[in-house]
Amino acid sequence: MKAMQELVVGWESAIETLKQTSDAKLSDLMYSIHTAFLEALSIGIFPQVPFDYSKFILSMKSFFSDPRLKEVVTDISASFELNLVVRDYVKLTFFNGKEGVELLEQIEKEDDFTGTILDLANRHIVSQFRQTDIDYLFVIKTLNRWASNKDFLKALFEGRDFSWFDETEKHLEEPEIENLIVELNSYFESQQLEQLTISRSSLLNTIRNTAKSIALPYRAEATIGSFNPLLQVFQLLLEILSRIEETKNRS
Amino acid sequence: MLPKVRVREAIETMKVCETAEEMAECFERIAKEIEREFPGWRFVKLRGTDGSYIFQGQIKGQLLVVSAEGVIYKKTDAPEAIRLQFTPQGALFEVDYSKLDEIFRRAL
Repeated sequence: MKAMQELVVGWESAIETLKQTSDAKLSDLMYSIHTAFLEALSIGIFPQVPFDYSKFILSMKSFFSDPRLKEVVTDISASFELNLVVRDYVKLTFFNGKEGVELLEQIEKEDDFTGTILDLANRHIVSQFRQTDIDYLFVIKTLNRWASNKDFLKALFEGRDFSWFDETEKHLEEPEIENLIVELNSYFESQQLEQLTISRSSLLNTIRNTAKSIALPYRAEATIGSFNPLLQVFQLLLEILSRIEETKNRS
Repeated sequence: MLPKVRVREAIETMKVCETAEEMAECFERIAKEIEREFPGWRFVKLRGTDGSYIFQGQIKGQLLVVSAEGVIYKKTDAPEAIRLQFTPQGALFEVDYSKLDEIFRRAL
C-alpha cells in the first residue's frame, strides 16, 4: 500500500498552487484539470510510475497562462503546427511515452479541437518534466478527459455562470442582532432567568458579543431550509445559560 | 434557471431522504440532470475513507459531502478539504470536515 501511496507525490504542494491561483478564469481551468485527475483515480485509472502532481499542476498553470489557449478556444478552427521535436523527446524520455504519443495522434485525427489543446499542453508538460520519468499515457488520458469537454471551455470563455452555491457574503446587521437580543430578553423573562447571579446587562453584553463573533460572517445560502444562523446562536446561548444554572445549583 | 438554483433544490430534496446512501443517490441523479441541462457543468462522485460521499465540481472545486451519518456539508474552493489516500478498496479521499460548512443535520 505504501508503494501505491507513493504513486502520487506532491499532493499538498499541488493543492497549495490551486488555492493560490487568484485569476478566476485560470482558477476554473485549473480546477477542471484537478477534477479530471480525481475522476481518473475514482474510476481506477492509476499512473504506473510515481506521478508528481505538484509539477503537473505547475505545468498546467503555465499552460493556462499561455495566451494561445484563449486563441484556440475562441477560434475552434485554429490549429498549430505540431512540435515534432517535442514529440520525439517525449517518445525517448517518458515512461509510456510511445503509447501516450500514439493516443495523442489518434485524438488529433478524430478531434482537431481537442487534439490542438492537448498538443499545446504537451509542450508545457515537457518543459516541467524534462528530468523526470512520468507516465505520459496517464497524463494524456487525464488531460483528454478534461479537454474533451468543449462545452465547458466555450462556456467559461463566454463567462457563463456554472457556480454551485451563492457566493454573496451576508453579515448579520446590527438591527438583526438587536432583534435577537429582544427575543432572548423575552425568553429570559418567561423563564424567570433574572434570578441568575450575573446581571442582566452583563449577560446581554456577553450575548451581543457572542452573537457577533460566532454568527459573522455567514454565507447567504446557509439559510437554505432549516439552517438558521440566528437560531444556531440562540441554541448555543441557551446551552451556555444551562451551564450557568447548573453551576449555580451545584453551589 | 441557473445551475446553482438546481443545486439548491437538490439539497432541499436530499433533506427528506432517510440514509446517507439515499441522499447521495438523490444528489447524483439531479446532478446528472443538471449536466444535461447545462452543457459544460460537471461533477465527479468520489468516496471518502469514512464511508462518506463526495461530489466535486469542475469549477473552483466546489464540494458537497454527505457523511456516513447523513450530515450534509459544502464548501466552495476548498481542495485541501479532501486528501487522496490509496486503500485496499482503491483511491479514496480523507475528508477534513473542519474545512467544510455544515448545512444540514437531521434532528435526532
